[in-house]
Order: sequence, then structure tokens, then C-alpha cells
Amino acid sequence: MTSLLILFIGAIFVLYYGIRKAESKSLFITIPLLVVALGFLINDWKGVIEKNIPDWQTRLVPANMLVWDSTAIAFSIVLVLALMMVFGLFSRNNHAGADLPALMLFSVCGGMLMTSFSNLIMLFLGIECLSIPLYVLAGSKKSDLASNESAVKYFLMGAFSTAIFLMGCAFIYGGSGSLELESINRAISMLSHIGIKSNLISAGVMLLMAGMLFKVSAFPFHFWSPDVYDGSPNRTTVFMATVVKIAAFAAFFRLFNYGLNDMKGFWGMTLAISAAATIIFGNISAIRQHSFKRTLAYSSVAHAGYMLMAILAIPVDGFWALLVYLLAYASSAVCVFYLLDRTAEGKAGFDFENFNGLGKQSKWLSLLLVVSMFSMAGIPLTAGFAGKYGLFSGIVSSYPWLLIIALLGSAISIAYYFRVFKNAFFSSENGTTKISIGMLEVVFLLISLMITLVVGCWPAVITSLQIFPG
Amino acid sequence: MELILIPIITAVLAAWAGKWSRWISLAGSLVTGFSLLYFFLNFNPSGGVQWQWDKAWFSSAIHFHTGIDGISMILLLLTNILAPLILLSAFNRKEDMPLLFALIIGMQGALNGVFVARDGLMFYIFWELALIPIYFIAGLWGEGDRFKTTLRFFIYTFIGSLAMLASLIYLFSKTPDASSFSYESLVAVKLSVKEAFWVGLGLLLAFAVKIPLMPFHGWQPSTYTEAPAAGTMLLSGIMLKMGLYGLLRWFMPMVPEALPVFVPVIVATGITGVIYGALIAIKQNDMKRIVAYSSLSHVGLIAAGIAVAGETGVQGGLLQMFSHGVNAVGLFLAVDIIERRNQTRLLDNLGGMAGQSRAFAVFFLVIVLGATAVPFTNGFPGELLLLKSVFGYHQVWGILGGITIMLCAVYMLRMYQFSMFGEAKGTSFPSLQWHEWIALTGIVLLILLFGLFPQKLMDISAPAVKNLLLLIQNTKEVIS
Repeated sequence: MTSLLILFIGAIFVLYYGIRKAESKSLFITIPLLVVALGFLINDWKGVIEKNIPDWQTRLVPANMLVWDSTAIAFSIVLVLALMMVFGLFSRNNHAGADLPALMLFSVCGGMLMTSFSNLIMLFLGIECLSIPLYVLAGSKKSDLASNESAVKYFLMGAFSTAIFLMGCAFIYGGSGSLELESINRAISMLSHIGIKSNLISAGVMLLMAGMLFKVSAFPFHFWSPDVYDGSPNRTTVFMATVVKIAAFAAFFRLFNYGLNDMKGFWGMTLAISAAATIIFGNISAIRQHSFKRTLAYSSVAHAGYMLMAILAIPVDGFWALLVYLLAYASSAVCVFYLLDRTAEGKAGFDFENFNGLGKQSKWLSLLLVVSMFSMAGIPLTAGFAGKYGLFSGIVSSYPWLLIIALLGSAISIAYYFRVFKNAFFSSENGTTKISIGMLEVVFLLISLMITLVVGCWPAVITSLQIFPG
Repeated sequence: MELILIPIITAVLAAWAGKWSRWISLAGSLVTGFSLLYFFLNFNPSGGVQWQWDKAWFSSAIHFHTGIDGISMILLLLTNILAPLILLSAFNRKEDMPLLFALIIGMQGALNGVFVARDGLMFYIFWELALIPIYFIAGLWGEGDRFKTTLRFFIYTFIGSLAMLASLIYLFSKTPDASSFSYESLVAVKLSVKEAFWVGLGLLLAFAVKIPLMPFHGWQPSTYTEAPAAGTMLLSGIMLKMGLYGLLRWFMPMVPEALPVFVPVIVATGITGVIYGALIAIKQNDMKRIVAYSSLSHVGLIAAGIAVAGETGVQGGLLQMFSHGVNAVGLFLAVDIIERRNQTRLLDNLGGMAGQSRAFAVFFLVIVLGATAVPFTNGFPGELLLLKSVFGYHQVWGILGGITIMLCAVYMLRMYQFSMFGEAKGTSFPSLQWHEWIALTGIVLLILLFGLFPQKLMDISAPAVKNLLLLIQNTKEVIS
């Protein structure tokens, strides 16, 4: 809770402090700010564990709009970590004014509401707080047509999805008489106990699912994401791919596994089909792209499909799998986008050819590229595999067919993840200009590399944390 | 444990060591070899699984669990004898070496991991890890359309491994409370015939791609031809054995329920591969391709012999795995030596080398004879046992398999004759370098040693094979 306040007040301060300075100067405030927020989060976490609160379902105290239980804190930590990496790696431009970093901080405040809500109103507020700065961020390259297009597209689609989501909230309220997750859950189990099927609630669940599927860009509501990802400036794209995805999945997980858990039989199959379609569609479309950035956009759609499997799994297993997967995806995506950004300097577009000759230029960057790509593809001993393994073992007993599709998707994904190796290592052409990396960037690249490798070689470092006592 | 860690640490060191990396790799490889020697000398064949090392890894269900029994020992010997020889063979490559040596030695570690794993997921992880170095070796130093070839190779094997992962996870979910990936508990899982069929299919896919069995061999010839010599040696000498080892250790005990369905299929595809590979090898002009197809032909017989699941077949299979590894590395080494000296490996452009270098002619002859399974070379006893067991399974397959020896003689001797005898077409044949001497001598010694005393090798694995077959038999009886 404290960390949310710190970030919010800090964002205002950043906005004021950086009003006439180059953007890179504001980094000296944002990074310490995030570190402090992270410290408070970890402190909160300790507190939650020490209080020894028994089961996660009963921890939702009604009348509080936000509940900082351990899942909320865990996802928030990943959220803040991801934002830190985004700031650390993408702050080279000398754009005057600290408006964009401040907007990102505001957006993350929304994200933290999404991880910790216990009331649908709060979730709605969180989504809006997260999204509205994003509309601006997507269009932040004001003179670029693609950037403007992506902003408008994102705004229109986002507005529609929010409306659908609100409609869902209204139906749920109509059916259960409450917007509290706890009360909704109780109402649903009571109704099913006495054998009444509420069409209002069913319709509401479907609408909520549609709204959430839009936010995580899953089939059939994913069409906006490739265009928006492609058109936005790199920093906004990586922000959307990591921070927004983390927040959206945390909220999705919380909503469906806390509030609507008793209706899993109703929404499970729909979600499973959506996950399968997302995986297939994302992976197959990604193969056919010419631009590496667009490939990554489609791959992030595919990753959303994998992460949906976490919501279908048994909640505790699903939580761990999702946490590891989000951490893995965020740390590798940040690195890949960083390389994409740097290799494209002075070039038009983000083609695979930009990576030509990277292998000859720097061993460390090659290592970074290989490890990140392996992690995304789910090759063992990277964090991506640990996450995928968790997801797969979580659903094998209830949806074995989904497992087959997910594995097929992984196999397909090799075709495009490894395509960049062809340019970077196997081609004889020299394409890249010399990349010089600043001290701060080295630190953050190393952090994300360490996360990928350590979590990959020893996932117990995360999964053995005592989050659920007893 | 040491067998995995030493090579991998060496690989990391070697990758950054610049021009010293070849020596560091060689030293690391030899140290690994000596630690295996220690295990070998203190190894008690009838002592079951020895030197177990068991620690919780991913979670309480997934352990880092290693252990060596007779079957593992044979393959560990193969891996750790061949790896230094392969390193030596690559010693005079000029360009970008540090990474090549690091990858070879890293591969040694991963392969050792595959052969000592006693935990399903650990087995899968090392199985995948062994794929990474070879992908880069073939991609970075290959020839021709190497990106396409290596990608095809990778996707083929990756699909296979993912199918295996699915099967393993399914088996895992069927263990009591989904609590353990350990070999023993996975074997103990009872499946219905239908479940066993699907689980077995997943496992078989992984192994069949790697071996490769007939319809899944698409990646093999082009990968062998286009990969650099060291990569081809690793692939054919050791990596193929991963598939055969998997078939024996992981496939058959896991799904004995469905074996009646699978065995005829494996035998049929194996023997078809034998004939098919041999017939194509006869028509080839490229020496590397001949060896590649001959490899396809040999492993088909091994797979068939193992699948019959009799003691002769399995023992013969293990013996032949070892011999084939040695012979294939020898053949590819010889081809590489020829190619480096003549800048070609097409039989049309070669000839008369016997007159130019007698030492090489003798070495090459012994290797060719070994591959042809002439008595007193290492190829003979294994082939004999395999044929005997396949013959016992069904006469027709036995006879068809027997043809392989004849066909093998045809293409091997043809290759030897065309390249070594006749008019000298190359300008000159620089004499062998010291590291080539060591590698060739080592291989020839191995060929003769195990040709004369195959029993030594068979004694190591006999008790372990008996146990394994007993395991399969027991499960079968419980069901019927």
C-alpha cells in the first residue's frame, strides 16, 4: 500500500522536477523511487507471511476495496521490477520534459490497483488508470504516422473493451447483488448449491472474460495488438509487452480464481479454447512476418495464450507458474527489445537484417540474445522453461488436449525465434553499427540475464518462497 | 555429478579463453575421462545403480538424481573416450575456435547428463541441452544451406522432445499424488493399454527422430553432410545413441503395456531403414553421404534388436552402440582428413591415396573393416547378436537384416577402393599431423580391442540388462 502511494506522489514530483530537463536526467529520481517502492513491497510481503493468515480465500475482508495479500504483493514486485528494467534500458533519448516517465509511473499505479483489487470497481479504476496514460504513450512519437495510428486504434479498442467490461460488472451486480469478490463468490456458490442457474451472472462472466481477454490481447480480441505494438515507440511497446501484461494477467487471475472460482466448469472450456486459439494464431502469424518487431508482437500474443493456461490450472499451481512465467517473459522481452532498439539505430524499420553480424561484434550481446531467445522459446535451463513447465503440469490432468496444442505451438515458435540467429550469427554480412552500452544499461542487462538463468537453473529459488503458510 | 559439472564449467571457461581454449577443453575433457575411469575401476557390474547423487531441484517432485548402472556405463565410456578424440580432430581449425571447443566440451557434459539421469525431467532437460551445442556447431561452421538444414534438424528433434515432455508430464500426473519424476516411480505407473499407447507414442517420437528410424530420418543426411566434421562425429558417434539409450532405458520399461503394439512397428521400420540406408549409400558419390546413410542403416538394426527385448538383442545392441560410435567417428574422421587434403570428398575426384600415405591407408582400412563387421573387428560380435535376436523374433526380418552385412561390404569397400586405389588424382597428400595420429590410433585400437574381447564390454552391462528386462517382464505379467 505504501509503495502505491510512494509511486503516485513520486510520479507527480518527477513531472514537476523534470519539466525543463532532458528526460534522461529524471532517471536519477525514477530508479531510486522504484527501488524504495520495491523495498516497501518486500517489507509488506514479510508482514503478510508473519501474520500467518491462513487461506487465501478467507483473506479477502469485505468493505476494503484493496487487499494486499501475498499474491498481490508478488505480482506487484514483478511489476515494479519490470518497470525498473524498462526505465534502465530505454532512457537514452533527450526529449525535453519528464512527462513520459511520469505517465509510465501513473500507469503502474493503475497496474498495482489491478493486482490488489477486491472489488470490481477498483479493478475498473485500475484498468483505466493503466490504460489512459498508455493511449498517450502509444502516440508519443508525435510526428510519426504509425505512432498516431496505433494510439487511435488502441484508444478506440480500449474504450470498447472497457465498456464491455463495465457491462459485465453490471450484470454480475444484478445477479449477485454485490461488486465485492468475496460476496460474488458466496452468491455464486449459494446459487449453485440450491440449483439455480443465473443467466445474468453467466452473461456477466462472459462479458468480463471478453474485457479481460482484450486487455491481455488473447484470441479473439487480439487484433489490435500487432498494429499497436508495431506502431508505438519501442519503449511503449516493451512497456505494454511487460508491465501491462503482468498487471492484466494478475487481475485476470485474481478475478477468475478468487471471485468466479466456483463457476470454473462454466468458463473453463471457453477460456481453454481461447488459449488454444491464441497459441496457434499467435505462433503461426509470427512466422510470416518480415519485421522483427512485428514478430515479437505476435509472439507476445502467443505468450498470452500460454499464460491463460495458468488461470485454468489449480489456483496455487497456476499462481506459481504464472509468476515464474511473467518474470521470465518480462526479463527476456526487455532484453530482446533492447537489442531491437539498439540495432535499429540509424535504420528504417525493424527488420531481421538489422541483426546481421551481431555475433561478430560482441560476445556479451550475443549471449544476451541467445539466452533471451531461448527463454522465450522455452528451452530448458532458462526461466522460460521453468514457467512453461509449471503451466504444462498445471493443466495436464484437466485439459490434456490443450497441452498438446501448447507443445505444438512451442515447436512452431522455434521457427521464428531462431530466425534471428541466422542473421546474427550465421550470415556473413555486416549490418550492425557498433553498439555502445552505458554503465546503467549493463547493470540492468545483467540483472535480467541473471533472473533468466538463475530462475531457469533453479526455479525453487522462487517457488520455495513461503507465500502460502500452512 | 562430476561427469556433468566438469565439462560444463570447462565449456564456460573455454568460451572466453581465446587461443588457450583448445587446451583448456582438452584438459577438461581428459579430467572428465579420468573421473569416469575412477568410477569404472571401482564399478561393480552386479551392484545395481551406483554413485547415486540425489538432491531436490526444481521442486520436491523433480530431483537432480544421477546414478550409474551397467547400461549407463557403456555409454559413458563411449562418450568420454570419443569426446577427447573429437576435440583432437578439430585441433587445426583456424577460425573462431574458442566457441567450437567450448561447444564440444559442453556437449560432452550434456550427454553425460543424459546417460546418468535417474529423473524424468532431468533426463528431458539434458536431452534438450545436448541439442543446443550441436545446433550452433552445425549452424556456425557448416557448409551449404546450413541455416535451413540446422533449423530443420532442430525443429524435427524439438518436436520429438516436446512429445516426450508431454508423455513424461502425463506419466508424472499419474504417479501417486503427482509427487515424483524419479525413474522408479515413473516405471511403477500402471496405465491402461490405450493410455500406454499414447504415452509410448510420445516417447517413441522423440527417440525415433533421434535414432533416426525410417519415416523420421529426413533431417539426417543433409545435417550430417553439411555439419562440420566435429559436429558430424558428435551427432553420429554419440548423439544417435541417446535415442537408442532412450528406447532401451525410458521407452520400454515405461509402457510395457503397449509393447505388443510397438515392437513389430519398431522392428519393421528398423529393418526397412537398414535396407533403405544401405541401398542409397551404394549410389552415393559424396563420401560423407555414404557414411551418413550407412549410419542410418546400422542404427536401424540396433533399434530392431533392442525392441525385441531379449537378452541377446539388448546386449548386442549395447555392444553395437559402442562399436558403431567408434566406427562412425573413425569414418568421419577419415573423410575429414581426406577432404582437408584434397578439398573434395567426391569419389569421382579422388583416388590413389594409398600410394601417397600408407599409414593413413592402413588406418582407414581397419576402420572400414570395422564398419563392415568383419570378424575380429568390433563391428562383428554386436551385429551377430543383433541378427540372432531379430532372427529369433521373425525369420523374414532376420534374413532381410542379414542382407545388411553384404550391402555394407559393397558400399564400404567401394568407397575405400575408389578413394584409395587407382590413379592418384590429388596432387599430394601431406602426411598426418600429430593430433590426427593420436585420434586415428585411438580409434583403431578400440576397434581391434573390442573386436577381440567383446566379452569385456558385455560383462559390464549384463546384470543391468537382466534387471531391465526383468522389469519389463514383470509389468507385462501383472497385466496379463
